[in-house]
Formats: sequence, structure tokens, C-alpha cells
Amino acid sequence: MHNKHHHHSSHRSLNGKNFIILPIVFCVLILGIASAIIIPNTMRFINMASMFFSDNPHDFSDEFKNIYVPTSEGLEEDVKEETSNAQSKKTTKTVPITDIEYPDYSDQFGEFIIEDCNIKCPLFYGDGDLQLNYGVGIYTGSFIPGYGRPILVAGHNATYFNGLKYAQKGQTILIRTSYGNYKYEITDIAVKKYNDKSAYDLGAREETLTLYTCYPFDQFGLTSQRCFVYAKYVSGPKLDISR
Amino acid sequence: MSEKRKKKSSSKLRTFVYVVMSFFLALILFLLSVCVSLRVTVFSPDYMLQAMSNREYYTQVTEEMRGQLESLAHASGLSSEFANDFTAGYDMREDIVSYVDSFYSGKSTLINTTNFKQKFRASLDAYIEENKKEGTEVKESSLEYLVNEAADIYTNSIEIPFFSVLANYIGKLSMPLNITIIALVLIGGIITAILFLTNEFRHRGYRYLSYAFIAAFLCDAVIAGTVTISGIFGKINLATRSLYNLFVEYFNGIFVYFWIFAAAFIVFGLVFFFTFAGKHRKLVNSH
Repeated sequence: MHNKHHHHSSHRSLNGKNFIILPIVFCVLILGIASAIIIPNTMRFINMASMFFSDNPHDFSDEFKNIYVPTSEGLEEDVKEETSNAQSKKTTKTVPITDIEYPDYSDQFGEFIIEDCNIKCPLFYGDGDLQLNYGVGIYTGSFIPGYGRPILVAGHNATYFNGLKYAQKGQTILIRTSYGNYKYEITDIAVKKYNDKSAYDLGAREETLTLYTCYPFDQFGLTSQRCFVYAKYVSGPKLDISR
Repeated sequence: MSEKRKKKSSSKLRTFVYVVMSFFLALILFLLSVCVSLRVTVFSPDYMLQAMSNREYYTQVTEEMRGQLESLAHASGLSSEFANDFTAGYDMREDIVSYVDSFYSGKSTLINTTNFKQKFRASLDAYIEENKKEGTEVKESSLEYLVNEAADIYTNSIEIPFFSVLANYIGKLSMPLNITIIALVLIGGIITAILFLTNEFRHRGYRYLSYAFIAAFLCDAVIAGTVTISGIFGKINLATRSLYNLFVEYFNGIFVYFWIFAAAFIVFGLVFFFTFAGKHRKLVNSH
């Protein structure tokens, strides 16, 4: 008993700092060990998980941005005849692509008009549900007017593209954008299967316009056929993509 | 070596052993907090259903499905009202609950669309009957195509991404997790008993318990604090608002349990500290 008291009395201090230092050391060791064991074995999953995170907050709104401001640029008077070295040459105005507001996905950036078919509706960049609920949309794997490459436009046959049932060769399609107005002329109309890969060629090096919608028109339900309307570029400012 | 020096050396070794045991107790407490947090969250179907209720998941999913069915209606010659009326009369809650239950019970997580298809087809037929105009074609294959597309929308609305993958792990890990929790409690109890029973001065056991509980508090607080401050789960990228809200609630909820454990650990840590300090002072004063 005497020894016990003597032993204890030799440690009279409470050693309060141990109650801070030791838990911190323990914590560092535990988290260090846990990291050393867990991280190498779960790196694959951590890398996979990182794909699901982004720095920007996700936008779930159903609203779209309208960047379309009507312009007179590209109307018939802008296509001028110029004479150079005694040769007659038709020139079209060019617009540097850096000068235009390039649309983001889902932006309304123009207006789509086929007067002969009674079609006049907003034109969107993108052909998802939202865009096709409010107008017609350019497939983002194709190009915007003036780019000099194929343009693929989709619309619902029951709504904005219902008028395509009146489409005929030679009719004019007008696309109005903030950077210019474009004219195309219908060259062909065809009905094909939805998965017919020969229906259009997005790799072509010339500006063509292809419209498509479900077929037949005025039918309840979904169909496996599509009506394709093909048109050639007539006029409108070219986009200068070199600048 | 004198008797005094031998005793001092042996005392230091004993203290070191107790500190090491205290470290292992801290590790066990931390692991226990992680395992129990997972047990009552990720491994519990009630937790998922609670997260769904908290974030009005059912209402949001129904609204999202309505939007998609409306787009489908536009593509199919139907009006927006058709989608609105149909969705208003269809309760998805039961199907979502049975999907979550089947997921946790290890059954097939395939969603049965029979009921949905039957009701959708009945609504479609009634709509066509009411709204069929002259010249409008009704083709059975087109209607079937539409019903199948609507059923796909319905399935996609109910399905929770990666749950089928996770279900496999949860099914396999559920029992080992329970055993681990029991084992950790037992080992923790044994270490605590050793700390008290083998110590020459019983009250010193409180000191080592205090070290362990404060360390476990720090571990939980560091992890939960890092997650809370970084707001990492708010940056998750998911396709729909309903899933986003559900996942944020779900993951943040797991770390709420970390905070609860951290709070419990620090309370116990302080109680043990003051108990030790009181007993220590009493003993010193008595001599």
C-alpha cells in the first residue's frame, strides 16, 4: 500500500497536454493508415466517381435562352455581282465566326420559315425534347447555317413540321438568325426508315439542308418511317471559320 | 541498475502499452462509427425511403415523367392534356417502394411495367376515341410502339442509376458488416476491461478511455467536416432534379451520422477526462 501511494505521488501532474496531443497523434495515425489501405484499393472507384462531379452547378430548368435578334443581313440585296478581271463572279458576304454568338445547346438562335407549307417557328440548337416542344431543332452533330457543311433539322410531324406534308420541290426555306438570313431551295422529298444511314451525309463538304420528321403525318402513335426533305443552299452570309 | 530506476523503466513501458491499447481502442471506435453509420444508412431500405420522402422524390419523379410523356405526346399526335391527365391519375409511389424493397431484399430489380402499360393503353384508346378527326390514321403497330416508349420512360423514371450494381455488394456485405460490428464491440469491450482491470490505479483507465474517445471524435469530425466544407455532394452531376436531390440527401445523411458519433465521442471523452481529473485530484489531495 505504501509503495502504491509512493508510486502515484511521483505522477502528481495531470499531464493535460496529453489529452490534446495524443488524440491528435492517434487521429493522424488512424486516418493515415485508413488512407494507405483504402485509397490504393479503391482508386478505380474514386476515379470513376470523380466523373460524376462537376465544378458548375447542374441546371435543371426547362427554360431556354433566346439569342435570336432579327437582322436584315443576308437578304437578297446582300448578294452582289462583282466584276473582276473581266469575269463575272457572284460573291456572298462573309462573317467572321468570332463575330457571331455561337449558340449553346438548347438556345433558340433563329427562326425557321417555309411559307408554302405554312411553317413558321423558332429554331433551336439541339433537337431534344425541350427544343422540339417549342419549335424545330438542329442536330448538334451537324452544322449551323453559313458554316458550309450539312445542316440536319428535326421537328415533330404532329406540331411544327406537320406542314411538311405540303412540301414540294422548288419551294423556298428561309432560316433567319442573328448573324444573317439564309435561303434554301427544296430539291427532293423522300420517305425512309428511321435507321436508314443513307438518308443523309453529315460528312459532306457543302452546305445542304435536310429536314426530317416522323411519317406518315396525322397519325396517332409513333412510327418507324421518316419523311426527309432535302434542300440546297441558295443565299446567306458565309461564316469565315479561319478567323 | 537501482530498484528505483528499474521501477521507473517498467512504469514507462506499462504506460506505453496502455497508450498503444488506447490507440487501438480509438481505431475500433472509429471503425465502429463507420460501420454503424453504413448499417443504418446505405444498408437500410428505410433510410433510402426516408430520403425519398424528405426530398419529395415521388412528386418530382412524377412531374419529370409527365414532362417526358408530354414530349412523347407531341411526337405522337396527342395533346399535352393527355400526358397531364394520365400522370395525374397514376400513382408511382407504390412501384418505387417495391423497386427499392426488391433492391434491398436481393430480388430482381426489374421493374414490372404491365400495370403501367395497361393503364396507358386504356387512356390512349379513350383519348383516340374522343379526339379522332377525319383523316387521322390509327395503326395498331404505331400505338404499340408508343406504349412501349412510354413504358421505357416510366422504367427510366423509377430506376436509380447504379443501384443494381450496388445491390450486389450490399447483399454480399450485409452479414459480414453485422459480424464486424459485433466483433468491434467485443474487442472494444475487452480493451476497456484490460485498461481498467490491469491498471494499478483504476482511475487511470478513464484517462486512456478519454484519449481514445477524443481521438475517435477527431477522426469522425475531420471526415464529416471535410465533406461538409467541400460541399462535394452538391456538385454531383445527375440527369434529373429528383435524382440530384435524392442523392444529395442520401449522401449528406450518411455524414450526419458521422457528426452524431463525433458529438457522442467528444461528450464521452470529456466525461472520462473530468472523471479522471476528479479522481486524480482526490487521490493526490488525500496524500
